[in-house]
Amino acid sequence: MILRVDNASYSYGGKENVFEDISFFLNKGETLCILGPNGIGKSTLLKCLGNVLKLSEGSVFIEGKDISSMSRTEIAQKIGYVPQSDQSVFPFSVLDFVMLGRAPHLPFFSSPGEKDLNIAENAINKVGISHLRDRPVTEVSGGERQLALIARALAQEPEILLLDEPTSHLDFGNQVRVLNLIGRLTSQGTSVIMSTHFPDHGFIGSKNVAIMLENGFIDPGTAEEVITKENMALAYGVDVTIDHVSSIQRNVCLPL
Amino acid sequence: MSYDIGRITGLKLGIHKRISEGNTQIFLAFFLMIFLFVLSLFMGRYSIPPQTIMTNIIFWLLSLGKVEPSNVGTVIFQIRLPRIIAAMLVGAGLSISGASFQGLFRNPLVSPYILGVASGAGFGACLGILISENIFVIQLMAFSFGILAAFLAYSLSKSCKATVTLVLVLSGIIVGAVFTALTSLVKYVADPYDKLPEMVFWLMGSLSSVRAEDLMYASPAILAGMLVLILIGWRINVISLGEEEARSLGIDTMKMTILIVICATLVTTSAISISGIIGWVGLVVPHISRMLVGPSYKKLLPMSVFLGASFLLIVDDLARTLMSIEIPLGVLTALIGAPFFAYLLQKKKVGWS
Repeated sequence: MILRVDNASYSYGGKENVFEDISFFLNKGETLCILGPNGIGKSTLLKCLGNVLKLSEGSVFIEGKDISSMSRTEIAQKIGYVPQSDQSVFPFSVLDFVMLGRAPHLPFFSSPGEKDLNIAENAINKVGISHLRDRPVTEVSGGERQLALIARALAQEPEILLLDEPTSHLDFGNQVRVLNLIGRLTSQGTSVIMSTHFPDHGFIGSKNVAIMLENGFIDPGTAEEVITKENMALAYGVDVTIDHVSSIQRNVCLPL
Repeated sequence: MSYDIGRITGLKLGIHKRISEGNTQIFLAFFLMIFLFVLSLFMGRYSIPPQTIMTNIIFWLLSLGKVEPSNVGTVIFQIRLPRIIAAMLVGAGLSISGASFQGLFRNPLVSPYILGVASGAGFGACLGILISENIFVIQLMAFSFGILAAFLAYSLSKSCKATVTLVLVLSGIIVGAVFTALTSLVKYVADPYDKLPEMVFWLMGSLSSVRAEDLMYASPAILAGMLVLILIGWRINVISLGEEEARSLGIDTMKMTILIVICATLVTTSAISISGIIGWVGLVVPHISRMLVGPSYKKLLPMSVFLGASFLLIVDDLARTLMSIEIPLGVLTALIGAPFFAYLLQKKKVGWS
């Protein structure tokens, strides 16, 4: 077990809880896909796991260690967080931008060297944006910027990767490529938690799925167990059909 | 096989090139600064033949800094040299602080005075002029009130729980407004024939009265602050991504903010306590530097130091040689800086979007 979350709750400035009493765990090389309606707190949960926000109650354990007893640097060496979008003001080149992912691995007063540069270049190649390496990150498209963000998290070399709607700005081809990349990463031992609005993402690459609702998770399980007609109606209030497509050997979820 | 090795070494060379990119410009800026430093020694009201200056400098170097008791020696080493060094320190200090604050506040329009330091120091100096004739008292008051202003702005921002940097900017505006009002009050009650002109002159900035002793007090703080900022330069990139992303990259944003604020405030306040308020340098120089070496703070900060020092050297040379009376520095930096900035905006050559 690489990640365990116990009774997690969060509220912005002591107001109403955004989510409460969420517990789950994740093994090495597993993927958890979090579904749920807009505004239910998926992003907030991921931010809490990525140590961007602090849980108001409950705890997060990485490899059995409570993150509240770890330093920010230690946590960032283990967990990479990819936000939905980024608002960088300064036109760093994509390479410089990705290199910032090396921050948790470098001593305070130092800056990246050749080794870090190689890691950053590998990360850029992995997400397939090597042609953008020297372009200013403020001038590439939204989707390309999202890929640069993923590359930055890869340069962080984390054991757990948190992705907040990683495909939201991507074209059809890049969506598939990012999902494949996630598949490759997990087969190499990285654990992934991603939020998404597409139930099908749960079926691709046989992921674990959790649906986030007002009062926490609907019991997490395999995609086949969790993505059901009933649960989809409960979460989104729409009717769907779930069919097995024999030519691709997996289920699909389609709105009626 | 040999082809493979060639390709590998080629790659390695490519990598080296990319890490050192922009370093040439930084070296050039450094040599420009040194060139202007030497040139400035030869410039001034009191005309001295170049060869006399040379022999004096050589004598000075050989005797390890002992000044020849002659008019020429006094002019060069007691008047010109401190002033030149002050121009370099102030120019470099304001530029690096401006650049650092721009990164911290994620806003390229931020100046080193964003936390109300200039208004605080201005009030302190005017109060000092009102109660004392001693230059040291005036400088100490300027420094103390500059630091006080930044401290007040920071404490004010702590009392509010919203996004730190945004509230910090607003707090700076509030504190600045209060000190500006207090400065007006001091000017209003000051003797209009004796004290008031001195206050006005201080607020416009000048290096004409800089003495070697002033540098003793101001330079350690300026140099130390600049050194720390340059050392954490690469990390300022990370903080410029915004608090959430910086935190996810393992940065303690609170500590980092405090460190940058302390260094930049110390540098700015020490600089203006010997020079008076000099605007535009801390805004324009970081932009020019960004155009030349790109936005990465690792290169931007050293570049800002050398260009800032060079810029203020040129402006101060103009201030003391252009006309028979001294032109206030703040006036010249604005007259040169503002049109130049307008030109950059028009050309869209600015290093941000």
